[in-house]
Amino acid sequence: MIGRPRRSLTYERLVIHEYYDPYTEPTPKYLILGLPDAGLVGSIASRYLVIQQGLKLVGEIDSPVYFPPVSVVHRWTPMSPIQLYMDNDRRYLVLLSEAPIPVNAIYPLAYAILEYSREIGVETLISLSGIAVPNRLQISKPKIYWLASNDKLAEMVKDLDLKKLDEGFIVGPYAVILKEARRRGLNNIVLFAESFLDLPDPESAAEVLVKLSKMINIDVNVQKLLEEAEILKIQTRELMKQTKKAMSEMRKGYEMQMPLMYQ
Amino acid sequence: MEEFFERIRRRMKELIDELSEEFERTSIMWTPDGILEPLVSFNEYPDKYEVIVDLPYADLNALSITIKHGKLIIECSLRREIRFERWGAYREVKFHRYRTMVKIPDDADIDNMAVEKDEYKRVIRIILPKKRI
Repeated sequence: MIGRPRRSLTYERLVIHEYYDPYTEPTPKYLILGLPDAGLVGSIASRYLVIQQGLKLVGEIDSPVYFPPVSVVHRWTPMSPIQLYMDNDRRYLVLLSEAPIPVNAIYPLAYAILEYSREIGVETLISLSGIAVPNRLQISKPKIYWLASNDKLAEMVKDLDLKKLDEGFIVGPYAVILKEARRRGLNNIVLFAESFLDLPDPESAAEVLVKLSKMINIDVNVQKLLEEAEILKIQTRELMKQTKKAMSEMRKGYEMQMPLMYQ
Repeated sequence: MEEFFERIRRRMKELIDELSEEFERTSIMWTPDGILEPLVSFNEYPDKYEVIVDLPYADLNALSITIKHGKLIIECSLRREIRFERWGAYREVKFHRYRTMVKIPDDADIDNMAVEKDEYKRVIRIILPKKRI
């Protein structure tokens, strides 16, 4: 069982508890974000990454103001649903949430993630997300789109055969993190896999993981994820249902609309 | 006058349905005797309604869709009983069947309902055209 945090940092009534020393060399270069969103793509992908790569819990984010009074229990340990993991080689961190992010927590959480990333010297934040497409049933291999907070990041995806998201609305925590990263001069790249909006989509999560593995040069075999897809879909129904409600509150429907200034 | 009362009746029914949906959101999606509630994606288009039902691990040959009291009743057996050692705070949970109900909009043409099954994704798509007025 994890014990007391080594350090707790407070950002606008959001607390990041650390169980590791983020300044020990090498410091993690990437922060991968897997928050509940369309098709639970980011959540499923990050969960698989944590389990398959055997990542260690190194932190959690909590708030007495923005989050409901929930503890999730894993191996007899009560913890926040928002957890931070790190690989053994200290190359990357993974932040995942086992509960939807309440609408009023999106901005403070986004700011806390960005400030913490800057504090510990993360070079690039990589958000894993789904982008809902109405014809998902007819798509056998979901396309992956990308969008970044600055032009330099195009280098990271140049050989991956990804499409750039040129126009449109994006809604939710990733939308806030991305625009705020641009304003603060931080590196954030979002990978969007075509997905269902309100049905868990492990196949899209697998596609996004394949691209991520090439992007940051890690070995991720998604075979097991695809084999377990049906069981995973059963297990994640409740999270998907809650996320659907949260997405509705954050006006996720904007993503299906044409922006006024589109030319 | 009759039209006025009909409008009020409809509005009250809508409000009751909204309240019911709110309660459904907090409802448990499984029963201790092995029934799972599947996720349903309901989309409205200018000419039709689309109901996508996610039925992982289902035997789609055992799918049953019936209409009763203005609702689609969707039932389907799983390919075999599945057992989870842990399910949240519970232990030893077994599931063998899906069941859910979906309210049919008043202007849906149920006589021309179409059902498509995707055996690979274990998803069904129900198309309800809108009645021509």
